[in-house]
Amino acid sequence: MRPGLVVRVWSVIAIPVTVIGLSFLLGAAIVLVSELLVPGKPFDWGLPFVAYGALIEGALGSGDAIVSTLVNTTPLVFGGLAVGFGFRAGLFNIGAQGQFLVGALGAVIVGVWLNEAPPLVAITASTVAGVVAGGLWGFVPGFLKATAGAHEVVSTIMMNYIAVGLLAALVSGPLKVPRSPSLVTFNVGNAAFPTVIGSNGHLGIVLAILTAVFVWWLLYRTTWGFQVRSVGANPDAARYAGMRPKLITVATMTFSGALAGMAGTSVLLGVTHAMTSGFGTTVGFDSIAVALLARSHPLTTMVAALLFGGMRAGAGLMQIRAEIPVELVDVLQAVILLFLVASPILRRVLRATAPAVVSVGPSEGVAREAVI
Amino acid sequence: MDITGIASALYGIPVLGLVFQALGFLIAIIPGNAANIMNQATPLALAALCGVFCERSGVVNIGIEGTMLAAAFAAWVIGVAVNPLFGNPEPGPVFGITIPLLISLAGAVGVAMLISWLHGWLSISLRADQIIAGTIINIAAFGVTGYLDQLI
Repeated sequence: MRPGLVVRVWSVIAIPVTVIGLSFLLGAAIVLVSELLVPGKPFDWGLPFVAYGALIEGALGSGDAIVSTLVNTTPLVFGGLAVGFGFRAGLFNIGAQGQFLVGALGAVIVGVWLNEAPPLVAITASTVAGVVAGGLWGFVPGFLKATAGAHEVVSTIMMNYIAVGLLAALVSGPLKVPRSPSLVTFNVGNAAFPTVIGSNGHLGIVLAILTAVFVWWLLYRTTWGFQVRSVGANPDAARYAGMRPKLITVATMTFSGALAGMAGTSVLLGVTHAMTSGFGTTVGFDSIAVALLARSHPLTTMVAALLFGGMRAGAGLMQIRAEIPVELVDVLQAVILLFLVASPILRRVLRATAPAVVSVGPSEGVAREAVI
Repeated sequence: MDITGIASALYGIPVLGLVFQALGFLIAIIPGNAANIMNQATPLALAALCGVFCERSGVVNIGIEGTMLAAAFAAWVIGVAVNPLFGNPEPGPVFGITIPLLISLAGAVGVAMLISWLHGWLSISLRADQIIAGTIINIAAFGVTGYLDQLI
């Protein structure tokens, strides 16, 4: 007999909820301790409450705040899907950052080229360009792994450096606005995503939701998705069952790169509309955090991305109200991951009902499959 | 045929010519920049040694970047805090070493060892994925140093 719905839901969310609660407690402790470091200000026990109040208000307090949260969430959904999809096939795509940058680069090149074209053509073409560029950046490590056995972690990190260098070279050289004092490209013009919600809620929000559902369908309702999950669970068994793990590896890395490229495209066409030399610094690493917290499931990825996107959106108000640096969000993210990884201890304490409720990392794909 | 003739002949080869030009450029600048080159190479060599140690013990260390960042930050903080206590001393007789320098060096190495201990605890005792543990260290070091830097 299956246990009741409440028990089943709790068995899935117990660890993540506990982890997030503990992380925010530790964040409050960090805020209190850091008060001691700044001389000349009276010690205030209520500062964590002020800070978290401002964080929540900045993320959810008004219509604009909610739209800002959604805008911050969008690239994290795409990035989280990209990293999570890799996890499903047992691949650690740490190169989401590089694929993100190259995707944005592809989108800006085509977007600037087509900035006078009809919006439908311009948007479609530049989005496709971003996705293809990201996919290409993911294909290379996948191909190297399948043919030469190069570890995807090392090759994707190297591809990150190439992407950063490529971006710097192109933005300071061929793509730069001539005679402009700052390193910035032309505006993408008609290729910019139209606004659908509020003052700046762009089309990418809708695309992110659709993509998450599509990836879920792909993973759980198609043969290819089954092959991906099988290869992630046990490549040898998958080969014995007639699948081709090498082909799946290449295809998965390409698809993962395309998703990360879509993240870059959504930021570029939706938010910045032009490329600067300091474009999108932390989305790649945040995506890894999102995928780990979401346990690589496409639908929970949206929830995890919403949490991190909300934290990013509210951080500005927190800095203004409580004079706490926005970097606290990075610290909180790291602490959440730390507690997630240390969750075997938590699980022992909690005596969670289901075995292996939270498992992180590609190596535990089997345990994850058994629960979801 | 003199040396310049050979050189110009080599430079004439279509693609390899670029390589030879780059090599010639490097050879030309090395004598004047030896100190600079050593400065650039030192952190690379030390970090690579770190990687070698970890790989030999069977732990993949992705977190070297974060460890270096945190240690550099610790060195700066400790140096700023300790230097006035010794009245901004003159450079010492051996390599210009001063007591505050030694203290901040030891502090930075201690911080890095603490972080590596965390990595080891996560990946060996808890059997977490080593790459994830390293990624956490990178994110944490980036966040904590940025946070403290803004605060101080």
